[in-house]
Amino acid sequence: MLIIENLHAILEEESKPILKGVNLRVGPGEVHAIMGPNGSGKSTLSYVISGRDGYEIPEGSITYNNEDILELEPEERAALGFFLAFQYPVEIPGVGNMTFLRTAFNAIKKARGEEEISASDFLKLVRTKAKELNIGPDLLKRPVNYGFSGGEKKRNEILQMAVLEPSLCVLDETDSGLDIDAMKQVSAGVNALRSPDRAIIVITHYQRLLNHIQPDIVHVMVDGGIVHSGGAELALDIENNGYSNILSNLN
Amino acid sequence: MLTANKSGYNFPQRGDEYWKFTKPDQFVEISEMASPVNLENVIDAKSPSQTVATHKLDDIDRIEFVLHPNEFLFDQSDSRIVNSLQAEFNYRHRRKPSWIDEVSGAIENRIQKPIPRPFAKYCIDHSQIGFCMWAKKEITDPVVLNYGKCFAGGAHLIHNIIRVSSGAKLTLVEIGNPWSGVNMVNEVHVEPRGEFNHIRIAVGNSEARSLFHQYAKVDESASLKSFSLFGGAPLTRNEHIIELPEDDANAHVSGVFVGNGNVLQDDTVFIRHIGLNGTSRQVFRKVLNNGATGVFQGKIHVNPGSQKTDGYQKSQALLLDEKSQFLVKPELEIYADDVSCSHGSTCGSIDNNSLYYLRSRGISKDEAISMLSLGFLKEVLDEIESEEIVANLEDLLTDMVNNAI
Ligand SMILES: Nc1ncnc2c1ncn2[C@@H]1O[C@H](COP(=O)(O)OP(=O)(O)O)[C@@H](O)[C@H]1O
Ligand SMILES: [Mg+2]
Repeated sequence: MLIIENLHAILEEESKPILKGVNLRVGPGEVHAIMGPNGSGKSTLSYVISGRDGYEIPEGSITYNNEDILELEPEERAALGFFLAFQYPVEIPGVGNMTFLRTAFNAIKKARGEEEISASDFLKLVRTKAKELNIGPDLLKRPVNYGFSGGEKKRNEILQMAVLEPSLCVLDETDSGLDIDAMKQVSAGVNALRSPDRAIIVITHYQRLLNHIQPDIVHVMVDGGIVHSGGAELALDIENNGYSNILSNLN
Repeated sequence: MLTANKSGYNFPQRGDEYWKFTKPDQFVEISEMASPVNLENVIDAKSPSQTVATHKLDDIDRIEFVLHPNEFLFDQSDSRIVNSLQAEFNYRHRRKPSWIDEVSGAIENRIQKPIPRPFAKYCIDHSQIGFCMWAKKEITDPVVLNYGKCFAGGAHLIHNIIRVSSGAKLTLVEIGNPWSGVNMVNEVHVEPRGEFNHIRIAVGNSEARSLFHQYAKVDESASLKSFSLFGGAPLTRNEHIIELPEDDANAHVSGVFVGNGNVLQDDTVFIRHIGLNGTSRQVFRKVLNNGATGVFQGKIHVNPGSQKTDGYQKSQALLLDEKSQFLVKPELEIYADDVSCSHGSTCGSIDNNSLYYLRSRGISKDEAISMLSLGFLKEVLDEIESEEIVANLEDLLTDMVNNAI
């Protein structure tokens, strides 16, 4: 489904190489976790996958269902089914959350050649999903993420994901800033999306999220590359011993 | 024909203190073009395409006056008008209600010093038409002044007089899209504890070069809120001159402009605090595209002894291309020591993070830019008192932004 080969990325404004040859293959129905120390390039990878500008890609490729997507705009990738739950969701004053959701939903439906749904059906859909995520109606009325607490922002990301029903979900540190109850709700939201034709990549620092969203494969990213991969037990090992074992094995 | 200085009005010259960014010449032309002869012509003048604005307020309960060149039309049996609102068509040589003498020219005259405004004086001296409105009690429904046909055809001088009695309340919505241009003056007197909410909508494509002045005197514990929405005309200057001579008075002026192409819109605001405890707010935002120019000149003037004045001023522009520009002159002139006044001006382009966020959700770049521009402008609608009107303006603003981007 998603194949990343030898991906290099340079942050243009600093001429700084960040990704230094990432290899990753994610198949349909799979859940992958990417762990790794701060600054190893996890968020950068998620940005490059979703099409943020500001990166030069001197080498490597990303294909999705055999299509090269590196030249595609972020909105084109979204239409293909990409979704990134941001580590730092952006506050957008003046744009209502509901309006934003509806515009995104319709834009994606349109790009896929699918029929839009009526305003009232859409409202019902959003209300149902919001309720499951414990997002009150007032958060739907307010401007996108504006003045939301950390946890509210993260839940709002998952709400968008649930409504847009992407086929490739990338979650960047969605667990940070969540208390245990919120983490359960968010995980339930993610698990509800697990399906044989959908792939999920969970970027996290902590093993605890992986108790709720069980990964098929765990990767460790260090200094711009994936240095080690294993099963779910790898996350536990990291939780107990940190990255030092993996790092010393590398050396 | 009158010319700039022969007429004795001493019209401003290019580069004069408050005319650094906007050229006054075209307003001289418009003022002089507006003559009684044109008035007659207007009746047959081809009406420009109706402004979007006129349709948008249709679903609001309101008292509507439609201004024609020599009369104005309204439902004479409307009890709201009979009981609490005196409204007259001010047609020179025809009838002139006596109550307006107290206000007419007096407020403008009072505020000519220290900066004379010859265009306003010219309008008051020569205008043939206008509207006199006296709110004697609280009028719950908004009063809509629809300039309709009057704005079609030639240029006009319009002088409106508005009086809000002690404790009365009036919401006035002026709708009209001048076709050629207008030199228009509102003189407003808000008496103690009175409340005047004002909305001006001049939207839609036209060739108009328009100059609006609103002179207001806001008495003790009275309040004035004025919001304006502009877009589609090549040249607009919107000038507010507000005086708060007594204590606890409140003045808010705000505005939104959507500019596309070779257009200029200028908001010039002068608020003078004289009494104690006054509050004032100036909030203006503009979205400028394809070389459009926005101007903001604002002053908070606090007299010696006007202690506890709270003055706020913020002007912001979103520039969508490199040719567009925002020219500002924010000023504080404070002679009292116990006041809190602030002013700020910002000018920026679309935030890349926000743009990326929206696009990553499938929203196209153009649509995302429209959404962000609209979001930026919509925040100013919070300055408007009536939620019903805000809801209507949101739709109108959405159309304006989508047309301009
Ligand atoms: N805008 C930026 N300017 C400079 N350096 C950056 C910027 N964004 C990321 N980096 C650097 O890129 C590296 C990878 O960052 P990031 O992808 O955020 O890592 P992670 O998500 O794994 O913590 C870090 O060294 C970080 O400092
Ligand atoms: Mg990160």
